[in-house]
Amino acid sequence: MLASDVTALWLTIKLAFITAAILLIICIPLAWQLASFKGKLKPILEALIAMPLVLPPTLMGFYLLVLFSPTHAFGQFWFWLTGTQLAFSFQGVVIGSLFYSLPFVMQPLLAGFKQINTTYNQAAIALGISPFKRFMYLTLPLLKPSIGSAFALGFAHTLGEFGLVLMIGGNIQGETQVVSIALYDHVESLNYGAAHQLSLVLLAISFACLVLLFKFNKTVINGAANRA
Amino acid sequence: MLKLYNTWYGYLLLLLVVFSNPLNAKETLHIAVASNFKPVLQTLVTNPALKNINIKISAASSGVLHSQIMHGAPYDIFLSADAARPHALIKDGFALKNSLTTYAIGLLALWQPSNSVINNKLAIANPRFSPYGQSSAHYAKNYIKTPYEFVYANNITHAFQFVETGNAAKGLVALSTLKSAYRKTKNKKYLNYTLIESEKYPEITQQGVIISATKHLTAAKKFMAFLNAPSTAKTLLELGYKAKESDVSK
Amino acid sequence: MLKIQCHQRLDDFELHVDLAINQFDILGVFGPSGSGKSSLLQAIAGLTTAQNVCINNHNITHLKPDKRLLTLQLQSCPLFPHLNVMGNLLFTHKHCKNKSNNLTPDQVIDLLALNPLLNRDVSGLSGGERQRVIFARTLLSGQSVILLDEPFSALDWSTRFTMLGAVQQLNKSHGIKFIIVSHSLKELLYCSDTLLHIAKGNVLQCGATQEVVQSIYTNKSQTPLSILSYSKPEFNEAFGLYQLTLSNSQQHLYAVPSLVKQNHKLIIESSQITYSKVKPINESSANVLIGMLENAQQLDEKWLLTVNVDTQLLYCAVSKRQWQQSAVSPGEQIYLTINNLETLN
Repeated sequence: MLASDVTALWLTIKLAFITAAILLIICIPLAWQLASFKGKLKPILEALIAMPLVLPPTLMGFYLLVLFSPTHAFGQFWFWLTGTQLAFSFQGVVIGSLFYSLPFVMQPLLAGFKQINTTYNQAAIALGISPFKRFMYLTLPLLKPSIGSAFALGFAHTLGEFGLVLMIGGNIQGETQVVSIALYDHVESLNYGAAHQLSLVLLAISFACLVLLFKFNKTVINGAANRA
Repeated sequence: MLKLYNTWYGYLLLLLVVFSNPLNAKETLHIAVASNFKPVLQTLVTNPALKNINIKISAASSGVLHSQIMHGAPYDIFLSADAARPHALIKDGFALKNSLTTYAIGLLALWQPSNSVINNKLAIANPRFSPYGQSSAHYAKNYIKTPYEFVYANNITHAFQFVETGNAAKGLVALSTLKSAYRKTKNKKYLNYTLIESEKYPEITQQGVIISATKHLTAAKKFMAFLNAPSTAKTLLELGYKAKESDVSK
Repeated sequence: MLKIQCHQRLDDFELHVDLAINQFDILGVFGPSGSGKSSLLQAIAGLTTAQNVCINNHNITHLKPDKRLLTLQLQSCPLFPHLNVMGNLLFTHKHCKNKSNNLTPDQVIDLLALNPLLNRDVSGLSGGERQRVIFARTLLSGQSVILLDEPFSALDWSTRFTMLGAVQQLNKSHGIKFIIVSHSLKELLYCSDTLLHIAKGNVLQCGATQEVVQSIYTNKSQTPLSILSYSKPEFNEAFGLYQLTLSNSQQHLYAVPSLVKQNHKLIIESSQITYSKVKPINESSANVLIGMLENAQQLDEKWLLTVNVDTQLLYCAVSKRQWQQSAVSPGEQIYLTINNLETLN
């Protein structure tokens, strides 16, 4: 396989891993709050979180392009903070991926928190256990399968990201040229041989991820059935 | 009158109406066009010379269209952004050899909308598969002295977007995009460009062919003739392209 | 020692409670489904707000549930799936603060016979086993006031009586006060000394169990259950039965071991009791007691007889025909046959 393709693969895995990890850190407290939130704004918040599911990635990419621009406030702020530009950079693609994969990490976490809150957490409150101990010794251990699912889904989803990266990446090897872009390049330049090779490798990796994901899910489903 | 539909006479009338359509209908032509030329094509088809032809336009990258035609897409005419793909189609028997024509020549412009953006990013279309990109890369490597960093867009219009949004300080874009943007907004920033001399980069020859499987050969031929007419050449110049034999003028 | 004022809007009605109970060991809360019993317990525990809650003269109205020095076992109180049985038991023992009942895990395990279950996965327990573990876990929270919401409803009566007996024993040995919610009067009659009758969010009655139960039965035109206290249970190996003695009159009864519990009480349904004026000679009727007919009252189409046996009151119901044809009057000696004590019911 071409060296540039290996670079693209490594870059993609790095991107997927970092995105999933950052999303977990953001989404666990967010899901915790949202799951127990009972206000009137709840449907609006839930819809906002689910937006990246329905928006075309190219649309998100286009608006991010505008957002990142050094002629606009956010782009200027970023430049002031770091001295670099977000478009055409790995950091920019990570930020785009955070939006892209947010609902995929939030959903399993939300579901996990809801289930824990309604059954186990209530019982523990009644038994007289303090909030801190409940979180540490009850919620977190019970959340493990959900965290696993959330990470796996976020990772797998980011692996396949295309439209958004296409819009804001600038196709720079080792920086923003992820596998989906490299594949697109091969196809566009009629280099079908390389395209097939790269596709197969990506398929294999994605498939392995999904197998792991369903292994996790199985534990979750069995656990849920036993608790019911 | 009300009961007409229920009689055999009524059915006869219905049949006549249905089958009479082809008799005085306009001929339909389905044109596959490279995305960068689509706006110009949309203007061209409003010309009264084509009023008897019903034209459907499908735009995508030349590569995608080429692929589709190879797999049997029902286009009548293919207007590519390069010369290679029409040649390939002829070689593989998908297009009519003697219909090959250069319908336009793409013009490159170096665009720097404002002086205030400070980065050395130069946006160009990806040279790997875009003829505009190849020409841009050639020009930049040979003639641009100030230091720059390439940023690759997936097509020449996307390169324009990179510069438009301010993420790239300058870019090599299609003249037609600048002209079209200025026409729409009258914003002077779209005039801050330098037209690149044609000798300095490989000519962006945009060629078209009639697809072999077409069912509307007459209309297709008529259209291709129209494309090569002198009046069309004038329109092309206004819109930012060059016709085969005309001179360059700003 | 328990004061509560609570006005809450519930789904179909308002919970309107204004109570002060001076002293109790085991307080029963009785009422039909949806009468507000669970809501009352949750208000006492602090899961919902009440206007005023005092326990032992401490005002706990504004305290969080984990600071109220009591514990509540909800009706739906699942075991934690990420821990095994032992882990669940130790969970409350380790994480509950301000413990006051100094029960150790070993004591509770022995009391509820949980030894064979300790290493089991919680998902593999039977319904009965699960409820015993849940109860043990609640006990190990270490509080001196324990609220239980229908804690034993999934158990068969024999196990249920064992558990209720354990409740009474814990009260005696460790001074733990219990508040138990149930819609089974039989259960509460068995173990509680004070009874609260609640319906549609209002307290109908609160007082000594016997009295409250009496008025419940009277109002419902039902024949009451009878409680018979006994002493000196002796196991007869030849018959496989226990011989029970009624302390005041030294009369004897035989019963299967599963009915003989630590609190030395038998609950007898009125349908188990038949009477006659003359002593039955039949050998199979070994469980015959002598008593005096105190009262005969007509309830709809039947007659309710109150009989004093061994200074305890037993109740049986007979049809109009039986009453008229038996010709017994209050004040007369009467023979009662208690059925189904020697065979499992």
